[in-house]
Amino acid sequence: MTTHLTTPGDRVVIGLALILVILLYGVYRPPSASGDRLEYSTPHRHEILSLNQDQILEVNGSLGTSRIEIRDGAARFLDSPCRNQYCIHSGWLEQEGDFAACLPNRITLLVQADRQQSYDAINY
Amino acid sequence: MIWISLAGCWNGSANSMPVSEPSKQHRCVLAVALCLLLVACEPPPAEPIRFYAFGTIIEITLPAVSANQKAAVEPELIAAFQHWQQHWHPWQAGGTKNLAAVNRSLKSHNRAELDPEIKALIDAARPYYQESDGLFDPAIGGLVKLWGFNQDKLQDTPPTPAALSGWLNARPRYSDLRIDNDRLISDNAGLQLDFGAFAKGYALEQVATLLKNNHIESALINAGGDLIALGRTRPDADARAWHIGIRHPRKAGVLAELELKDGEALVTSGDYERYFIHDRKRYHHILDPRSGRPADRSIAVSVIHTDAARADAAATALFVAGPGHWRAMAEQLQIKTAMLIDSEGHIHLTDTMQERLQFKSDPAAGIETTP
Repeated sequence: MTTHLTTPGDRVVIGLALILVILLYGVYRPPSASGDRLEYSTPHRHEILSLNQDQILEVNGSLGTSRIEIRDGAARFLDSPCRNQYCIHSGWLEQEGDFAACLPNRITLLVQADRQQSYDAINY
Repeated sequence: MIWISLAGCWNGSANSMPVSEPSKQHRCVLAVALCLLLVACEPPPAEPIRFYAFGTIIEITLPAVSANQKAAVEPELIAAFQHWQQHWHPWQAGGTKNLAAVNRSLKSHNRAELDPEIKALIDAARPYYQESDGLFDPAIGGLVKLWGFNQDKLQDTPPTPAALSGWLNARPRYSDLRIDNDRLISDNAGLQLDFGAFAKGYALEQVATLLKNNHIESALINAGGDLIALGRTRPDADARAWHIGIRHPRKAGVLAELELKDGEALVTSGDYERYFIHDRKRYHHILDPRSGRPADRSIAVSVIHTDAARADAAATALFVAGPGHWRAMAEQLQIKTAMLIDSEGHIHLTDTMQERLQFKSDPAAGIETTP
């Protein structure tokens, strides 16, 4: 005589619960869950974006509008109204902790990865 | 369904089931496992309070406060920073009791009436001026202005040699200031105050006190990259220390990382923060009062100390001291945990800083430097 851990009904319910958890995770997970997200801060706003969604953002800073490109899991300053353009020369930010700032325009970009391993802050 | 089935855990009805049915213990295990599955997700990190002050982004993470407590303290924090920004700014127009008014009065009369807050600021900075042998000197406001680092939009040429000579001949020093019954008296007509190398650290200390007075024990306060940590990331037993990355001074990304402990401040002064390039040479905002020019033997200094104001003043003094003298200067300023990256890209570490830092690459190899 065998002893079963669950009844067929229990197994159906457990399966449904697992599916529900997976679906809810897909809906409510932070953008970083797949590995990478971009945090950008300006004098006016702070936002977290997925690095997996290609786009070009126009972001207003203290001097004017900076354009930030997100492509193929990386981000960069594409254009900025600062004089020296060092934010643009920072190039692509891809790895966790990659950081670039347009200090004259008060815009910072930070690549964060899994929440468990990401930095609580960048010192500069 | 499952609720009925699992209910057997609690009502004992499983006792009457045939042996092929799940046992009471099995059902309890299942119930616990499902609960764990459904609650396993870690709560998302608290959304920091963010605002703009001191010409930079202020970010205050409060992981262990209720929404009501956060809503109560947020206006107090923003108001405090706005007040300090208005009160400590050396050049802005308007106001009669702020630092700008003190500078205007010093310029015209060599004396100024002191508001208690400005007096406290001046007194707080004085020990660091003395301990640093004047390498940290808030009396160089006129020099900062000559180089244009007081403006949002930087100039693209250095001051003329004649202008620099003029300032160096006058050579205002903090020691030229005396306080006599709430009146500030300057013995040097060229003396103008600028606490840019001190104000953020001094503010961090005051914010930490403000939070503690509000019974907030866990916080990470980030004032444009200068940090002070309170407590740990969470109030419970799973809490970890605050995990910080130190920016690489010459390229995107992090040079090294460390854990910041309760009450510690981490302040970095770098030549990448405010600078312009002229004739392929970098002119940055950390000025050597002895030469009147940007200190050119360091590119970044990071300091950890339990007093953020001391850490801020020391980061500037060590930067100006340069690789030949920074260790002695650190001792004078009671700094045990510090890193200096010199203009050749070599990384210098105190023993305690070496123990704390995890580098992304071998620090002995240094870093590549470019203008």
